[in-house]
Amino acid sequence: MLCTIFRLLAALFILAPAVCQASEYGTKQEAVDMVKRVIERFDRDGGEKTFAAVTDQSTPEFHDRDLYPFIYDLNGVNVAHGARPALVGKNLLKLKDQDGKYLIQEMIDIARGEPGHGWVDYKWPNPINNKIEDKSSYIERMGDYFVGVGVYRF
Amino acid sequence: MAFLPRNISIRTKMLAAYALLVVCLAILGANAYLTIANMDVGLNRLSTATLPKQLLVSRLKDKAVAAHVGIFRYVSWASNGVDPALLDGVSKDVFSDIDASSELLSELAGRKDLFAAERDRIRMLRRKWTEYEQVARDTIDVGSVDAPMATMMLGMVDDEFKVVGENLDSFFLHVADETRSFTGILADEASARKRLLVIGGLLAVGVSLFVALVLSKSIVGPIRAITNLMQDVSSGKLDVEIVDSGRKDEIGRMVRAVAAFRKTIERDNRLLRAREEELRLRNMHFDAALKNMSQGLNMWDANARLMLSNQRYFDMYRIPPGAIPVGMSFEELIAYRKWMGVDYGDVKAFTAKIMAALERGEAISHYVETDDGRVINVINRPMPGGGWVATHDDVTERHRAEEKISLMARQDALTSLANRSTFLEEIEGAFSRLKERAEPFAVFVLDLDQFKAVNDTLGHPVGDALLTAVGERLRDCAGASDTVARFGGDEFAILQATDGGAQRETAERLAKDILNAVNGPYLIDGNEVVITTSIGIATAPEDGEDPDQILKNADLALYKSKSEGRKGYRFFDPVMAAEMRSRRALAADLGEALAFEQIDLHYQPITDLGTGSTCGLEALARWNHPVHGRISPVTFIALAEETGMILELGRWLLRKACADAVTLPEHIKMAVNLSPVQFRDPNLFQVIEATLARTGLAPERLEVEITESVLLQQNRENLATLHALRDLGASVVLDDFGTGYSSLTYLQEFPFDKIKIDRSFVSQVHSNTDCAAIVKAVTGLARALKVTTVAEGVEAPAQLDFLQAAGCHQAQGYLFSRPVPLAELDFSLAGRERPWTGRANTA
Repeated sequence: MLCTIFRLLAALFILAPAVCQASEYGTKQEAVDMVKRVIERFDRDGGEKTFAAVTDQSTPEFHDRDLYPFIYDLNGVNVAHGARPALVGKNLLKLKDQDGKYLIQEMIDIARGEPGHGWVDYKWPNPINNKIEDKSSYIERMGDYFVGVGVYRF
Repeated sequence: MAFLPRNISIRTKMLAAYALLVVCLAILGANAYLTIANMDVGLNRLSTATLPKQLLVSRLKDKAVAAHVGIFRYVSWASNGVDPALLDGVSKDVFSDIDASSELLSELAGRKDLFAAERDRIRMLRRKWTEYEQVARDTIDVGSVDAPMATMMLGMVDDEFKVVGENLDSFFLHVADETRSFTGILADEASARKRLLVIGGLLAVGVSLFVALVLSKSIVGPIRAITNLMQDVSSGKLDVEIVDSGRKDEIGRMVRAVAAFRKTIERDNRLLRAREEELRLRNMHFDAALKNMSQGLNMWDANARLMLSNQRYFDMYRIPPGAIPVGMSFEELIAYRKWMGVDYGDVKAFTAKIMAALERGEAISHYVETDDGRVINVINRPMPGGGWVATHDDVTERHRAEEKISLMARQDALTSLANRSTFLEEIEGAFSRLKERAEPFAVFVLDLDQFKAVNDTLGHPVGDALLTAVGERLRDCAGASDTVARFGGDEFAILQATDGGAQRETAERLAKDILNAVNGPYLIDGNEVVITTSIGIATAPEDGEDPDQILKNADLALYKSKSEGRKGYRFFDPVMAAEMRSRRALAADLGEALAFEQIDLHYQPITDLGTGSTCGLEALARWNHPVHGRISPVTFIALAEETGMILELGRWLLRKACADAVTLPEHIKMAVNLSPVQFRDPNLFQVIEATLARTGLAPERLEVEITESVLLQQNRENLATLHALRDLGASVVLDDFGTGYSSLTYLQEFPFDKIKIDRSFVSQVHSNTDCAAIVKAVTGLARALKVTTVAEGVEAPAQLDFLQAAGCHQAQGYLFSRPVPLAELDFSLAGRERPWTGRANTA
């Protein structure tokens, strides 16, 4: 059933960009832009509203095709997830991808380091087809958190 | 065992050995205990700590693995779109496994027996487990909505599980390692102790063996030897050799004790043999004593059973042999003896009486009279330690003697009359009858006149026969209820009972009967003996209130009767008592008379009828009593004789007469009367001799006048005195010739120088032809015997003529001169032819 819902939702996302944008997949620039928008929103509305907006699937500015933001604190606890709300509140510090890469830890390392943003490549289920695909996410520190948005087709 | 000191006592040795053994065993025991305790602790620890820990870890691992597998199953099933209901079941299982694992982990962490290292490990494990649990829950949580993401997360879960698993393994390994090392230590320890036990046990066995060996060698051997010695010694083999090795322990002491024991036995044997010999001798003596003793004997044991009897006992009672066997009871014996005829009365009562006395420890005796009249005294004496001895003593002779003695005590042996004490008892009885029934009675006291003369002249056998005869006659005279007694000598007494009439008359009749009977002649051994008696009578109640008084009064009456000339009887009269009193007073005065020179001497001249001149003087005592005046010489001489004063008086008289005689012409002889009483003085001769020597009077001038009675008594001694006087040169004159019992034998017995014819004959020469005849006979006899005769009491010239005609040599009397004091003597009349002129002068 959930699969059915996901498929319907996916159809909606696919339809929307198709209306607004010409490409089927988001680009790295679009990912960075979305990060900037989240940070902007975070700076403007604060953590709570930003996290809710990010997690809320119906917020268009944070949901664009396969692009969605995710926010973790610096301990690896997910506070907001644009595609998989089930992860909110979970500590995923030790999460590995199929290659055994500790992706969250790498993200935290980038956020803690200079200049506080960067790219991390890893494998992650694609919310559109739920298949694990290569993903490259832009990470940027945001207060005590970091926010990332990844692209699958790069 | 040379190295085992012999001087340490066995006790000490044993104690030391046992102490050693105890120490060994204690060490062994302690070791064993420690081993077991250790094992116990180890096993306990294994069972309560180590193994449960391992078990817990194992279970925890199981649960954790189950949870972990469950997560994978869940995510797998979720990815494959399994029915959510099934998924729910899986997730529940996973959570329950996770919870169970958490609980097990808590339980493990809560154990108290954890070591610090274990605690650290568990703390780490729990941390890891918490992390795993978080991740697992997150994964399930995510998986419920996002299976692909959950699949993503499985790697993370597995990583965490690996960490947990590592920690769990590490802990498990640690616990196992700990268990292994711990059991290894236990095993090492146990094996070490096992070695110790084996060595200790072997040591203990060795010590025991050693001790046993030592004891058997140093104790058992010697003891066996000593036991053999003891057997030898106690079986009488005393010549065994006993070697004293000088050991100072118990063995040494035992050896010495055996030696001492043997010595004691040897000594005891010697003593026993000596005692056996002694006992044998004593038994022999005892047998001999039993056989030869004059008494019969029975010995009884404590149960009153006969132990033994001697032959004399059987002989004494003529008991047939075998009739009284040993073992017979006392009662049976008495019953048998009663059957034989001894009067024991009631057998039981008799034996009970004897037994009771014996039980009190007292000897008890009784008399048995045999059928042949013998008397046996049986004495039962208790023996120390029970039983008793009965001795049978034939006391027939003694019994008879006693009977005789008791009779003799009451009787006069010669006459078989009552004796004095019996008589006194009778009088007592008479007095009590007098008091009770007013029965009067009379007491007679008699003696025979001149009995002594009979005794002296005819001999004692005749005297005794006479007394017996008198007793018989008295007995005949007296009534049946009267008591006749002899007091001794010629003294008799009669207690006359009343015949109902006047006592005095009754008594008078008896007195006359007695005089008639007793005064008759007796024919004894061919001699006709004539005797007279004097009687004094006192009657009760008039003359006395008690036996002594009435006897005394009867005596007084007798005295009176005798003093009045004998041959009669007199009743007591109170006057007699008065006379007696006055006599006593006079006797007292007489004592003073000598001291106060109230007594003087008068001299009566004696005229020689041949020459007509005075040839001698008779000294005569005169007493001028200060109150009673002149006292008759008859009275006071008798009084002096009675009181014994005659000795002093006689000496005084002799001295005075001799002293006076010295002053007179030398041809005048001095005649001095000597009382028979004076002859009782054994020194009479010495007194006379000394008096003559002192006064210087020639013995030839002294004439001693004695009466026949001097010769009646103590004839031999008196004759000796008279002979001595004659030998000295003095003359001896027989005074009062013819008055007494007198016999001519006296003239033959002693060569008298002179015979004095009694005045009673002289005064009757003319009135009584008998007297004249006697005077003539006497003078004739004297002439024939060549003895001088002197007549006294010559008062008339006719008497003088008769005397001169009869041939009398000398005379004295009032015809010539009455007795005059020395100063009045006149010898100028010497040669006067008619003496009566002298009488005229003095008249």
